[in-house]
Amino acid sequence: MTTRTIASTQAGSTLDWRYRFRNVPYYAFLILWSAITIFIFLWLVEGSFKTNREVFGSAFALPATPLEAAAANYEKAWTVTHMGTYFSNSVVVTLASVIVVVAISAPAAYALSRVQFPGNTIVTYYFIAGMGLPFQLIMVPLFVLLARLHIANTLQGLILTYIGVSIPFTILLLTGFFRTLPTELEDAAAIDGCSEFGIFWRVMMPLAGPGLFTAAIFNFVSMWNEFLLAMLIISNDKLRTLPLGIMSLRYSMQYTADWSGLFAAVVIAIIPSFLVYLALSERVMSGLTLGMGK
Amino acid sequence: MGRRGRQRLVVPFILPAFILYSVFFVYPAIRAFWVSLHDWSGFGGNMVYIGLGNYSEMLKDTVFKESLMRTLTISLGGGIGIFALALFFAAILQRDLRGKKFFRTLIFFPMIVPGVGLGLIWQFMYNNSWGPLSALLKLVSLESLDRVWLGPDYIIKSLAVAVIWTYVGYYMVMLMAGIDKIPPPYYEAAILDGASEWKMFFTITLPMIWDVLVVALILWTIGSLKIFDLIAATTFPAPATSTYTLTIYIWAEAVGVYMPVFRLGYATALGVVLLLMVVVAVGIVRFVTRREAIEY
Repeated sequence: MTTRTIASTQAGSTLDWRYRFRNVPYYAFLILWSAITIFIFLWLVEGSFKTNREVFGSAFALPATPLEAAAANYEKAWTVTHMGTYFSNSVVVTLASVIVVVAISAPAAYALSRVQFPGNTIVTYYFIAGMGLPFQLIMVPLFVLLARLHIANTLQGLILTYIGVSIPFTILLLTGFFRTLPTELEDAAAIDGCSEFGIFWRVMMPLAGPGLFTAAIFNFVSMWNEFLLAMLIISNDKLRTLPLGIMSLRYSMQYTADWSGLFAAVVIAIIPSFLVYLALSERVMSGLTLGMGK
Repeated sequence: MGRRGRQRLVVPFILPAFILYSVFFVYPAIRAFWVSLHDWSGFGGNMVYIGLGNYSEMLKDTVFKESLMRTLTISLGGGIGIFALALFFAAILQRDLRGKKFFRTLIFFPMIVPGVGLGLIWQFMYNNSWGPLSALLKLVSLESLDRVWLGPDYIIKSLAVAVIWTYVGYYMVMLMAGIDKIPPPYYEAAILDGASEWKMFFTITLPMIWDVLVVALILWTIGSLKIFDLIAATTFPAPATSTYTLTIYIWAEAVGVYMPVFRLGYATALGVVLLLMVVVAVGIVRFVTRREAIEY
């Protein structure tokens, strides 16, 4: 904005001309990049509108009977290859994990960021230290632990694991958020005789809404997409989540070669995140990049 | 402050998160160091203590060394591509371009798509018999440029392209947030002094977003060493050992990619090495990017 105002006050026709077209190369590059990205996803969706024969044909030929082919592919993916079951497993696991992790991290983050107590800093560091740990490190001991607790190969086991590994980032994000909230309201509520729990629940929680929502979005996206831990913990076909489902479908391609069905399955796995992104792109972008900042 | 009642909240507020985090994340992580000192073939079998045996085996393990090199290549090569592009995008989207929000949203989009979905999409893209890349080269009569994109010779370059395309939006958004915080008067003063756009980028933008850039570099360093879903799905279901990265190798040793393999002790030792790499890499990034605080 400022660049334009100052630059355009400078006289001279050459400069004007150069000024007007100076953004062209940048536009060209941005449009090329966007075109490639759009092509990649459109090509995937288009593949789910093709018959298998057409998939093996020319990559750029449009499907002859898109609606019939799509109906067949999605129907097959949803029922025959159990994407419907995987979808509801993913919904259950993601919702339960997101709700619990936010519900237990919010009070912890509140206590860590707003209450002075001995050991506060150490406990905060303890929570945040988990952010650097690769899941590959914990795989084997985690599986043994879950097996001992008789929750290996169950959705409960997966949910508890997702909660455990999501706590570091959720607490980091929420402590950062609570620190930005004003202390005056708390003090005012205390003077008015509000109980300490009441201050947290009735004063701070409503204020923390946007932070909790950001934390929920971040966890939703990462849990919905998670593959490594799900693969480790779940082996029962009926309990698979969507990422496991599309990978097992890809595995069976060697025998069935039903590629258009796989295209449809991948589209099904992408749609929920896509819809969330469409509605809340700014929130998702800040949720995924924020908190990681400091 | 004078509210002593708050102290009583601390334990009940922290305890649930503390327990779940400790049991399902910290305990397995600590236990991993002990497991890594054992030979252990299968969850049913017994752990046999072999000291640092797994670690000395790595020194002779060529698959490990080559996987490690591939991981480092993707981390470094992909990182250069990502940060060059992310800085470029962030700088040009800072202008009053029309459709700025659209471009930003679209470039970020791959980040929210399941990694395995992206991997399969790239597997389709690179498919030599019916994928669009080979078809495009044929369309413009450049068949001679067609390659076995997912074969051992080209796998790293192919994966690097997929990795850059996936992650560039994430770092772009971070850097844009940093650029947004630069007060406009700096640019106004520079323009009055007749500074070129390049000059402004290197003398104002880059120094002013340095802290954000360092954080972004650290995040990339940690994240790039751990990339798994995207690569696993791109080469799934039967990756040749000549296409392994470190995370894929750990997967292959822990449960087996194609055939069941259970080298649990060795896989866990590789996980410990991955953790050490993360720690060392972050230290290196911190050291290389250290700088006196500049007061503006």
